Amino acid sequence: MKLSCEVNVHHLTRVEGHGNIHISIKNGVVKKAQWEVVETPRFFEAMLVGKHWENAPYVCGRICGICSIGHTLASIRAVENAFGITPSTQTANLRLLLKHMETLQSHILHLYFLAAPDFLGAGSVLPLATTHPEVVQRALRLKLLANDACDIIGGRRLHPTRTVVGGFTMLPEKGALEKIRQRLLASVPDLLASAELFKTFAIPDFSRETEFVSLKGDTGYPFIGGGLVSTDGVVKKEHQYRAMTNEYCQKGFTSKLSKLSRPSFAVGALARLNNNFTKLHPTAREISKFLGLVPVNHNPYMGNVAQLVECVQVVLDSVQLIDTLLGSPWQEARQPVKAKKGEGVGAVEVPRGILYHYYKFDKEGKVIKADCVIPTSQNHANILHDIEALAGQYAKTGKQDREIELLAEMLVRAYDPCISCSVH
Amino acid sequence: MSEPLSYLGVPLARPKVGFFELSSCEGCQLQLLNNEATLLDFLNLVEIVNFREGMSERGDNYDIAFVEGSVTRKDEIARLTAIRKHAKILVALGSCACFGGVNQLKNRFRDLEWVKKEVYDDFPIETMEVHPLADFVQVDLEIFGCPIKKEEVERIVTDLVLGKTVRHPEYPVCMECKANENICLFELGEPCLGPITRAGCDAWCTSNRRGCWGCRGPAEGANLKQLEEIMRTYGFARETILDRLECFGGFASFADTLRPKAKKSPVTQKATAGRKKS
Amino acid sequence: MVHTAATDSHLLKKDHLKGFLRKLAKEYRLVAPVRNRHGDVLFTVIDDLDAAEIELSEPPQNSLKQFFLPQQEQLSTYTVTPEGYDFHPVQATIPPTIYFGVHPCDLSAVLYMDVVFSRRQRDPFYLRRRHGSVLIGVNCNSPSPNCFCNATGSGPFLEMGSDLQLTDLGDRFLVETGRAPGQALIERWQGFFSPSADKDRAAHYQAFLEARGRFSRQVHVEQAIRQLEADTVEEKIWQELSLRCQDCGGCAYLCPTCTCFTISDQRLDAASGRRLRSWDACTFAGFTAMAGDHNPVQAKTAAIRQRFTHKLRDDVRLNGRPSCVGCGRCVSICFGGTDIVRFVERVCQGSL
Repeated sequence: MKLSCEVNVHHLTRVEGHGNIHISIKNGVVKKAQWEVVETPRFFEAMLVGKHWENAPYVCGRICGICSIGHTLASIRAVENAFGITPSTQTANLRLLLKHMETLQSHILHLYFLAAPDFLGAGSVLPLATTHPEVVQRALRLKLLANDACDIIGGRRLHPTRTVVGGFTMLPEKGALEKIRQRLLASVPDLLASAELFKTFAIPDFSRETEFVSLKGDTGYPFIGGGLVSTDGVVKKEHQYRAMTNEYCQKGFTSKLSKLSRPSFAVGALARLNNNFTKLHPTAREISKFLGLVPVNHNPYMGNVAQLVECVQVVLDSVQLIDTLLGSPWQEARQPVKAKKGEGVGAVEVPRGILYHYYKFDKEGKVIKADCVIPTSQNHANILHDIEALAGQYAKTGKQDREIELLAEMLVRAYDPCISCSVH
Repeated sequence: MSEPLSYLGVPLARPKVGFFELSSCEGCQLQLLNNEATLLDFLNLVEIVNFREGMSERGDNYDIAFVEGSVTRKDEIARLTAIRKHAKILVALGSCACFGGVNQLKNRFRDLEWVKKEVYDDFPIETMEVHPLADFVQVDLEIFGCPIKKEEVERIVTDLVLGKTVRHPEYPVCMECKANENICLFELGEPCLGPITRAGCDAWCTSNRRGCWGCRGPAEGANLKQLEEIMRTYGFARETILDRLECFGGFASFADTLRPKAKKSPVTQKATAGRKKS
Repeated sequence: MVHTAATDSHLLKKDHLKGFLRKLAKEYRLVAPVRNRHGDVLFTVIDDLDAAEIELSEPPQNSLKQFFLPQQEQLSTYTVTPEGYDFHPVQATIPPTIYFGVHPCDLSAVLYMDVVFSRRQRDPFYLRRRHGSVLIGVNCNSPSPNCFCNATGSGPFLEMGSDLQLTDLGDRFLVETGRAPGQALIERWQGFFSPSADKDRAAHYQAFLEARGRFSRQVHVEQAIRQLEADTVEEKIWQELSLRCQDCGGCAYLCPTCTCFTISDQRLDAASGRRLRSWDACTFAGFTAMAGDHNPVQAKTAAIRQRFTHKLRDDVRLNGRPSCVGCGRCVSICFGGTDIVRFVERVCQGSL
């Protein structure tokens, strides 16, 4: 039986950013199992020092090309918390709706364009356009809906234009919101078909006990602000995010890493779902059960399934949000902002997990200190430990190098890492 | 894929293209996937041989290389040089590649050690002053914007494939904004670089009542000095203007002339503001 | 100028206006200045007369230009064949339209465009929109702060050119008939109108005198025209204004008489495309660009010179009057302060 294996993946494909996988097994013993992050740092936290507060959301939104809306909203929330601004109900609802549509867009992009090719035996989505045209068309339809909604609410799907501290520069046309509502309802069959498709995928059998960290929903499934919670029983407030993330640096990572009760923890769709299963919309919960996902699930590959469940969740919740927004006349789009000395934290559940932005301002509203803790950086240590465990599990099974390589690649992809974001 | 394309009776060769990224958010590449309506038509026009964010297969036999991001670490110079060697045409994709983008904001600090320490404390980390691609290799074509406008990219790529000359608008965003019949943002009290920034985005931000931050760099014959005066008559602080001018690097030389006059905050004094001339 | 209303005039009670418009809307597309939900007054196609808030006392932000010369218009489509290009003109049916509530400046501008688009070569795209249109003007009783039509000979009251011309006399309009289509409207719906009396015509004259006194600006257009003709405008004035111009084209876009356009072909796919005509402006750097990247008008100073010289000197030579109609729109749009009023004022200062 084959008991040795060498896996060296340089710049893993179909993930955002640059990461390497190295596995070395000799005679059934794992010699090396590594997850390396080699992305170049861009130093956003330093860039902002000395800058006026209005630069923070504008510049920090550009940390990430996939979850720019989430970064912008977390940044805005941190500034508003520092200045003591409470967004109006209308602003809060619009922001959540915008957030939902980014979640849908990002999850669909990951599930269909980045993850699905592995399960369908393809190298990318391109050949699927010929072999599985209906699957690609469905993905494009769902993504188009989410992106159109982001355009209508945020002004632009990438690096939104209308989102500012205090509210929005402009409000969407009600007629356009109504059309999005209809399209959301019409997308439910596509989501059910997606669930049927993912039900057919062979999810690798792998499990490692993990601590999961996310926001804690009081009333609904949480996305913007609130308490912090872990499956190991840690409970913290939003402003105590540092005690929840404990960042440190380590050789082999240009990104920082995090730990909590154990040497590593996980954030993301699976963590949110593990911590807030009861807060899901009943239909989303049913689909989760249908796909074999009930908390607490410790198989990281189920991150894909959790994302799919969240697609259902955000679509159904968005319909309700639009109903609320359409139910009353538009109020002021934007409230005035008065800068003051202080510090603030914004915690937002972005597609890949919980994201924190922190700023400290002087009395003119200039940034003295900035700190951003990214979901993927919180996941890196956990990915590393997962790869170690995976290598150990398959060390003596005689699998081909390519099989183990694929399993490792799929494992990393299941976290949907946003590596350039994690290094920022 | 569908049948072979032809133009004026001549069969079109589908050029092989590769997408690459240096230091960036990878948003510009994502913008290409974001164009659901025409994505498949667009993909039919070219043959993608390298697109790490979207596919596993990789090849070095590309005609056109789209490079996103700016150079912020030494190893990126080598990667960029290698890409240049393979590519017949090298396209700088987005403001980071063209001007340094938001990344070059860290060039405000002369002391790189301070920058590293601010983020990583004493952990050893490698970085360098941020540069656009053209500081190291010949760039054949620039596509401006943070983010790039996907319609514009498709037009440019189509022009490239059909062998037509690619031309950028010479006029400012202000003109597109007027054509969109927007209320002037100066009237709404919002600072805006629309009058001096190169058009082509169809007044993307200003049509959403967000002032222009100049991500596409200067228009031909941009009247910077005068805009500064005009903006001051509208009551905008020099620092507000500077924030926008220095955000993406397109106006770096002009921002340099303004910066020494800007009020220094106590925080930036320890790392003296002012970009070194590259 | 004699501004006594013609004896061929009628009265329309204000209470009857809506009813009259309702009749017109049944047979015509109706365009009038309407206040929208943001509070702006714009010439708008009215679909629901009851929902539209027609505003006659405030000058609309747009002119009628866009209705006759749209900002962008598709002239033809083309297909690419092995032999070359096949062009297919776009057929468009423009419904007969009544433009109601047109101020004298904007009406004068339409008359100017009529000349431009039919003097030497008849422009079918313009004329198919202009043909079958009826202009119902309304005189300006209280000019707005930026208005100076008194200096350009295009207001505040209009003497000729419209089909019907209304003057607000409080509870009623005095209606003068102009061109034949207006006469026909009066005859067709004569029930709405009553004959005017001497006192109505006296009130009309009184309104004219008062309107003339209400201009807040005295813009000496005549003097600028004389200096341009004599070529005595100082070089430094051109330079001073050109430096302030940001090339946004706002003045040309809003100007009711700026009719320059450019034609471009836009490819739709490898086998077809469309030919578009779009507004252009002489201040744009590429306006005079030629093949081979040659541009005879290089300096920014020349673009500004072109704009004002055309409006105030060349059109006077050609048509006997300037093509600036004094609407003041460029004054409000120009954040750089290089509008025509600023120019005229600088020229007058320079000659002091």
